[in-house]
Amino acid sequence: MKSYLSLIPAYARVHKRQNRMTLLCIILSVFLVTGIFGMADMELRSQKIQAIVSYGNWHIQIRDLSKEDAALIAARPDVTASSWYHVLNYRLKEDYYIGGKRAAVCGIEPSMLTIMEYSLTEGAFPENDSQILLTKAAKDILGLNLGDSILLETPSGESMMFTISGFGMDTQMSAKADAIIAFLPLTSFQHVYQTANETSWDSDLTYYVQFSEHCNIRKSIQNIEEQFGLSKDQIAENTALLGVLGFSRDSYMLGIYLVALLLFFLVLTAGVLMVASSMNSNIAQRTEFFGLLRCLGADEKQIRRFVRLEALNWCKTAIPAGALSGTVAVWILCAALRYLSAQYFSKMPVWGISPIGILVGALVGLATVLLAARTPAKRAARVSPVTAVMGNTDSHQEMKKAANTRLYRIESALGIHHALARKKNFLLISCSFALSITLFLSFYALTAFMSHAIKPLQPYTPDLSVVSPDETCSIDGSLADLLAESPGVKRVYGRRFAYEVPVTIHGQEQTATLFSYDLQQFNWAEESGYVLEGDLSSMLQEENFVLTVHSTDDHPLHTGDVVPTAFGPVTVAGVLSHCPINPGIDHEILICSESTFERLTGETGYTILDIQLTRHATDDDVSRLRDLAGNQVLFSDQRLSNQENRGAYWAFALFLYGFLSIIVLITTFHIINNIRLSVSARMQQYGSMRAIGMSCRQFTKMIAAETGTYAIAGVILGCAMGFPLHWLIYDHLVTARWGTPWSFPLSASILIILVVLTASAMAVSGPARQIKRMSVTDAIHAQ
Amino acid sequence: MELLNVQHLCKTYGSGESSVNALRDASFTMRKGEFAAIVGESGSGKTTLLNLIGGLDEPSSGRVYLGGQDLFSMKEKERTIFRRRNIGFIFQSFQLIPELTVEQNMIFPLLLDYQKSNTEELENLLAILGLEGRRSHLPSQLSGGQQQRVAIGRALIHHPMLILADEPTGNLDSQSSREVMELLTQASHHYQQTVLMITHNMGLTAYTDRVLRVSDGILTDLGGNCDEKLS
Repeated sequence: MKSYLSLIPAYARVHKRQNRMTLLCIILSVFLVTGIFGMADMELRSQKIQAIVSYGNWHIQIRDLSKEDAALIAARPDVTASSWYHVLNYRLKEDYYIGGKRAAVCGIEPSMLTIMEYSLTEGAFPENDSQILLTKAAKDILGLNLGDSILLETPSGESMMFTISGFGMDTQMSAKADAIIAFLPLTSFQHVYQTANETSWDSDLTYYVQFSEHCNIRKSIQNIEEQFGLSKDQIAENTALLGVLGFSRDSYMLGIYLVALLLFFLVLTAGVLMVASSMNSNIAQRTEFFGLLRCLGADEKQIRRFVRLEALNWCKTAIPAGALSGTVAVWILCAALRYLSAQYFSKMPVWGISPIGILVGALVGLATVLLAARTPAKRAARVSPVTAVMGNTDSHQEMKKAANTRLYRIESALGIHHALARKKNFLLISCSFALSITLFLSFYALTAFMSHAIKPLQPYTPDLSVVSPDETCSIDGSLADLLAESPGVKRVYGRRFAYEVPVTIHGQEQTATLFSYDLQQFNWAEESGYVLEGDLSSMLQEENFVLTVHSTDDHPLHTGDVVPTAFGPVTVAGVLSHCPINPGIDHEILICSESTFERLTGETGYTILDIQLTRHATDDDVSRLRDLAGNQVLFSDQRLSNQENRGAYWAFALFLYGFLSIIVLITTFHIINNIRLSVSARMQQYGSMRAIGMSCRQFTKMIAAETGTYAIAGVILGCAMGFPLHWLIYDHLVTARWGTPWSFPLSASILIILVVLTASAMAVSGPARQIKRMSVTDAIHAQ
Repeated sequence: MELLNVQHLCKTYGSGESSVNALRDASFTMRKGEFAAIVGESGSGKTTLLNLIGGLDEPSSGRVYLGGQDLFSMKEKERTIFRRRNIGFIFQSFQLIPELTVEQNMIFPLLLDYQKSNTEELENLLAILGLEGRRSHLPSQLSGGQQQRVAIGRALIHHPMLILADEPTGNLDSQSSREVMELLTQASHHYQQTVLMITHNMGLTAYTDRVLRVSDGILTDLGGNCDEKLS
């Protein structure tokens, strides 16, 4: 032994079991911080991917900018890419056509492809004014190839011929609308614009700028505003991307940052409290040992150093273990994301390491341990040498008040007193219980944000739709069977529509959209819990039954109401909460069976055929389906938008429920560990109680009373802190954006309180078993 | 009248070559109201014997009958309740419950049985122990001697058949030691309680009726008090 400090590893070797609990607390604390920060880091990465996929990798767009100023901006060192951009027929309402398909025409510079992260499948960007770049659908649908000539028809009736220089990926919009997007260099775009429009082409010209991510983007934007005298109206920001990068000045995004900061401090406090209470108990158990050191001549400073170094010694193993387990949790989540939406999250790393998560976890672990060691170190240093002779101070400590044996039975009175006797310890343990509840309720508020911000896919969401171009029942029923037999198709289901049907509801004349469901769609409505009232089984009967969709009208329809329509009276058999189309104001939705629709309208064809594909369906399968559907219908491909929606939902849901699971796990471990430590600290006292005749049942009751005291105080404190925080986060994230008022989180409260109570019950059984197993003589002499 | 009957009691710790025979074939009896001391070197097996008689530890072999009941034929739960009602313990380091007052500590065995104490009896005992003015004090507010008197009060309150005292004066000064011994003698002679006490202090055997010696786990009955024998 070189110095008295060499005793630390030797002591640790002998008291492995005792130290294991404190080690576990530090590991859990580091795991909590690394896990949550790692997940937050990965969530930000996935949000960045989503923002870029959805909106493009640009930071600002500037309107009414001169060419000279644009050149100066492009030359700035903090600008990595910039491009002019203009679009014709973005909403596909005008008569621009390529090969008979509706088309939108974009005028861009080649750098725009980089900015939008738009990849070409074939060829290159046009090199001269006679060339054009088209989305891949042109090749798939029209059978065009590189070098082919196409005619771009404009609303003025004039057509212009271009040679295809390349094909690029279909966009979500083009695929869904069954349209083609054409990309032209600015000079040829100007020509097309002026052929079809009389207004000046540069009035709607915008300049897209992408900054280097290593610069302070906020400062760069401000600098550009000042340098070129740009007003706030001239600059539009890519809020989603800037928000994820932390540079948004959008008040809503600032609210999100505030919430993130709040959650950060909550997580940090949870970590500090967890380690502090564990170390406090650890030191309390060893007062006699520190008394012995004092007895043998160690001064107070040496004891403080001993405790601090011992704490650092624990960090040597606990921090890497915590960081590793946190990283593994992040890996599991990333793997789940890639499994659930492989294409969408292809850029997410498989073995993603979050340096920020590990660094913050390690720093927080270290700082927490050092901070938490301060008080126990002082406490240990203050231990009187007499303690070594007298035994553990726990049995000699100054008590200010006796246990109340008049009000409670002896075991309950002692249990409650054990919890309340040491104020600091009581506060630490109940605060850590409370913090777990607060953390859970705070993170739970994000689930409301998720359900508002990201709509999960409904069971009836199709991958492809074959739509009647004139919205009539012009699609032959046999096409549904034909499509259903094609490879890659999971199921095909159709709806027949009758729009603007005159109806009389509660004496008022208005219009309704009447459409049909097949059996599958009725089943989905039932299985998904969309049925608010009524019974769907009657829908397949011969009578003219209809379903309606819940509306906020003053006089909504209810089950049993009879609605006179232009086709004859129909009876409401039920009310649904959701359906594929939204009801408008003074516009009713009536859903009936296919046979009822046929009886009422005489129509046998479909207005829309929806197709759901199997997981392994290929692009060739889709091309085959497109060929089967023919050119007389609109063929809407919603795979990209579904994938985006699904990806966004899974990313958020997985991380959010990941956080919540970690919090629940930590709460459980923490409660169990705290009680175990508390019991271990009194083992000697329990030994004498057993000798005098306290039964195991009475011990269990005593520990339960102690745990219950912590749990009740923790639940009260946790609810007192958690509900206002839940309200604050909800108000900032949901009410501020969607106006939905805050409602009491009853289910979440019940859930977390149940977790705390279950964990408390579990925490009692372990030590109770330990006392039962331990021989009385061992307990009396326990150290 | 025979109260305690210890028959061929053995206790071995560990197994194989590393096994230690802490107690070998100890047999003796005690009658009601008898006050006996167990003497012996450190590590000789005195505490092991006391723990076995008190039902705190299980013997490797042998039997202990208290009031005619076999302690080790009982289940753990039964034994705990039996111990609570019939055996009083006095420890060297007092082992008072720091959260309870003097009065609560004394009536602790009754509280465990969910019984109320007899006020008159409690007052009497407090007076005998000289603790009337201290009944509401916490153990931390008492001297060592006072704490041990509380522990004796706890051992007497429920009139146990047997009082087991492990070095009851070990942490006390001579004046307090004398007081404690007088209290134990009083318990034995006046209240007819059987007292078995471990001590290192040979002088204290003068207070007892009988002395037992334990040496290397072997029990020898020395008969009348040790001083008497030596003299």
